[in-house]
Amino acid sequence: MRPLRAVGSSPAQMSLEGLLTRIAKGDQAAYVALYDRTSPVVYGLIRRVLRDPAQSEEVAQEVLLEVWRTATRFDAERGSANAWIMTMAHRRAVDRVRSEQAARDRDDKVGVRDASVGFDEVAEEVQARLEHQQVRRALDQLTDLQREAVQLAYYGGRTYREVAELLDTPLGTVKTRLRDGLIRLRDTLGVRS
Amino acid sequence: MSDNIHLLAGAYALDALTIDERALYERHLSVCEACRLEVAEYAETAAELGVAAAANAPAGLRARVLTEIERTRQVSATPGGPASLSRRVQRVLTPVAAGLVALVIGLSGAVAVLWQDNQRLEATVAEERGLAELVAAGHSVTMTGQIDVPATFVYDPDRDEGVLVATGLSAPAEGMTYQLWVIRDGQPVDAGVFGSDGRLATATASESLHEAEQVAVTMEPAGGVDQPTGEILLSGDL
Repeated sequence: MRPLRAVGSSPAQMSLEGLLTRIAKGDQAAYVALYDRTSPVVYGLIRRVLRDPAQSEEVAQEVLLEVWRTATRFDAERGSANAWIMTMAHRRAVDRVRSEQAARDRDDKVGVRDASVGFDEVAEEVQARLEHQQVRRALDQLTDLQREAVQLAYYGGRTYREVAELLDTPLGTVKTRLRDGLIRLRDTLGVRS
Repeated sequence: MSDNIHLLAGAYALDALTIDERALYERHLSVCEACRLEVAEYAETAAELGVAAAANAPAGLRARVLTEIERTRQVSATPGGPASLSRRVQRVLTPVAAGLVALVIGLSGAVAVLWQDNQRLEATVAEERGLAELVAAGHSVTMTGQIDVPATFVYDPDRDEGVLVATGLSAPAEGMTYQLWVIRDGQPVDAGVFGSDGRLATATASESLHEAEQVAVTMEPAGGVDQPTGEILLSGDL
């Protein structure tokens, strides 16, 4: 699933890693190529987590600019360009969700999210809209608890504490399920760093 | 409860830790090669989950981003390279031990709560001696200034090592960084840049403290500067 290594020097044929190397030197054409390849996944992931389109667009813009700004810091030895970019996108989306939540909690002392509604929404949305057959199949291979925990955390932006509450499962179990769920996904997807 | 810090790799890779926990875990990562490799693998897997959520980006976004990059300066690669910086940080600040400093100095209630929750982390900390020894050396200076946050500089003149620990320091403005200075003969010397997640910030002085009179913190453009341009936000006399 990793992009093919660059064979020519045309940006369209280059790997994301190759593009980042050029972008780090200020190559705007390389950035345009990278934008076109990654903006759908960056925006899509942020949208999945944040749900609000306007906010998602704002956060996606921040992340895509951050890729330009910090391309110099990308280190291919530590992981793929795809993981570098998606990690950045996910973290920004999650941080935004949490700060929005904190603000809502301050405004509204009740502040308790309806657990069951939140969970069902996320789960349904994810199941209905996952375009990637391979990922869907990999998720299907997980136990129910692994799948629910991973989806709530990753697509729902929940902390493992919230996941534990939502699934009425001990904290330690949730930590372990997130980890062994990822291991099983990794093995099914055949992803290697 | 089986509660081992190594088990947090999954939750970390999925961004399912709170900000405090994330900061602590990242300090663990800076000394635990096994966890670093594990997290890197999970990040690849998580990224695949992310890719599966692809959607068409709004049409206007492309033009806006491409206009923005024209006027957005790129950061320089970390001076000295990321590896040497992390080694420098590692040398003194064995990571989870930063949490210990916070505990020892009694700075961070949030961290303390987290720790009560994760008794096993303390065992990890006990193994990570560097900062504990630094704390034991007993020199600490309260940093004060324009910013009103609890901040302490802990140092050991004999080992020529020092670490700043601040809680509640807001994240630096976009495109900016905090920078630590060692003042010697009235002259500020760059002692490294650092960020803050809004809760717990730690910074290891990368400059010798020998014959230093003062340490200070300013906010500077990302990547840091040779001489301070910002106002002194925090300072303390050694």
